[in-house]
Amino acid sequence: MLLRPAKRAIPAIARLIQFRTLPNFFINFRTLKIDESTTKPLAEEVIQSNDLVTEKEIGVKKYKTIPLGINPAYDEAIKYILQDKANKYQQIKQIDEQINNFSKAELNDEIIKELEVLHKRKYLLQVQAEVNDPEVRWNFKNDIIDMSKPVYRHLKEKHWKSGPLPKLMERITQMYVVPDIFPDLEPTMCLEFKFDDEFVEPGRFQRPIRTINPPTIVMNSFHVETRLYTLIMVDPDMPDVENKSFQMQWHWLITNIPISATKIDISGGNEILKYVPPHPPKGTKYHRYTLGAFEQSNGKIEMSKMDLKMNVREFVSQHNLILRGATFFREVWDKDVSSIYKDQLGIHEPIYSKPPKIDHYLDETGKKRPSKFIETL
Amino acid sequence: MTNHFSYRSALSTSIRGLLARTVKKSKPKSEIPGSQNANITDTRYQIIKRILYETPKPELPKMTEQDLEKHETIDRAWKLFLRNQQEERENELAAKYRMLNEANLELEKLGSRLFNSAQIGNKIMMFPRQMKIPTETPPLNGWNYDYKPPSSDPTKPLSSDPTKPLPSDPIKDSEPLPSDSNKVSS
Repeated sequence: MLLRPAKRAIPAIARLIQFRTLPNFFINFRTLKIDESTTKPLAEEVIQSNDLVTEKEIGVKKYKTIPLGINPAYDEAIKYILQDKANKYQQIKQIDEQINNFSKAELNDEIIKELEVLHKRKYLLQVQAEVNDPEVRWNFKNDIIDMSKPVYRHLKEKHWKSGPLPKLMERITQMYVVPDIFPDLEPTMCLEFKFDDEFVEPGRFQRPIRTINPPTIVMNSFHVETRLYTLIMVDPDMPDVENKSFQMQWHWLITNIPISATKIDISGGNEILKYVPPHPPKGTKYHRYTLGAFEQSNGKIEMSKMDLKMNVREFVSQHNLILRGATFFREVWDKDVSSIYKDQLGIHEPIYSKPPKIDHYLDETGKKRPSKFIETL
Repeated sequence: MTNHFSYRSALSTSIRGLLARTVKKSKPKSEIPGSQNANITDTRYQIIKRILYETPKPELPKMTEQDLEKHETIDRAWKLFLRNQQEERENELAAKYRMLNEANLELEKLGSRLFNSAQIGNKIMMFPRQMKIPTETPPLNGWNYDYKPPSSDPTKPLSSDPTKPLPSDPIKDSEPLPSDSNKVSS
């Protein structure tokens, strides 16, 4: 029979303080689990009242450095990490000098290549210097991220590539977003959207009432410099009765959005096509409302009006856009869609159904056809 | 109408008996390991199942948030230490290779016999006789804790016996093998 160790007399507030619920975006990637039931540390250490987190404002969290002099292994570890950090910063200084020397010289292809190599090396060193720092790791884990620093950019990109990105790609390929709307997708940007201040997983079904107002878009890029992006929202599953096929419908178009690692919202763009709320008609299967973020390789796009009959592929090739991020959600007809047609769109609501089945055993008048088999006697 | 059954019936009874005996009999189902009809009374299956499904999972230590952070920091510092060591070794090797390469290039410019022999290298690799090969048992005389390496002064004779020739290679010829002392010097 197991005997439980007696709980120490810890102030109730310490037991009550829960780990802040992490947003959808961050998955707990540890294998060792934090045991929240016991606030008792390991045997060789003594609880000091300073260690317990007693925050006055529970919303704001700050890293508390672990006191030295208790765990010798930890002390040595910290010492070594800080030493390594100093070394790395020395190397960064040297590289900075080299870069300065190059900037005085003329820029030809060779020098550009060498500068690129130097900048890559500098980025790597900057990341390596800070990535082992426990404060940085704690900050990242608790969503206190400063994207202007290379470490956080690196950690975020790494986390995105290991968790949310494979999931997104799986959903996109399973739902055939890739061949239907985009020819190919190799995302370098994490495109996310929120309905009612809640992040939505790619591919999830949404209720039409919820999507009447445009979603809050978050474009998480990993480059320092500001680049111009185009955002589109497209529904590829609108029925085309004449061609007995489907047609694409445009829902949203914003061009010339300045985006960088530190600027993640879509302000500052030209809204060419105002947001049209999704309206899947009755009788059709679910619709995939896809959002795409394209990098404008030709700089600013001057556009006054949108040709709504244009295909996505044509649009992309016309303006030399490069697909950098995509996501989607799905919707199906609801009673609220009728009100959207009436109030928001002001058009007659179409109701689709399958074409009538032809019964081959009845002739034109509706009577039963004579038997096809000749009777033999 | 003839069918293939008629061929068999044409055979004599003795030959049919021979055929029946030569046909290979398949293993009974209970003997095939892993099959559902296997011999359940065989204890080996029980033992295997117990090992697979009933051995207790090793319990991970219960850590608080702070403990986990400390553990991670220590782990990262150790891995960083090993990584730095590895990088140092790699850089050393790279530098050595670079120097070797440069030396060879310089030698090539001289266009000498030395360069050609350097490129050919030593095709016949011979291990020195006195090189220690790992043995399964320790030596009978034990470990010489009082060993002192030969002095670095080149004028001083390395061996106490002046009649003996000076060792050209201090590693090769410093200590004669015990078997050599028994040999009759020619």
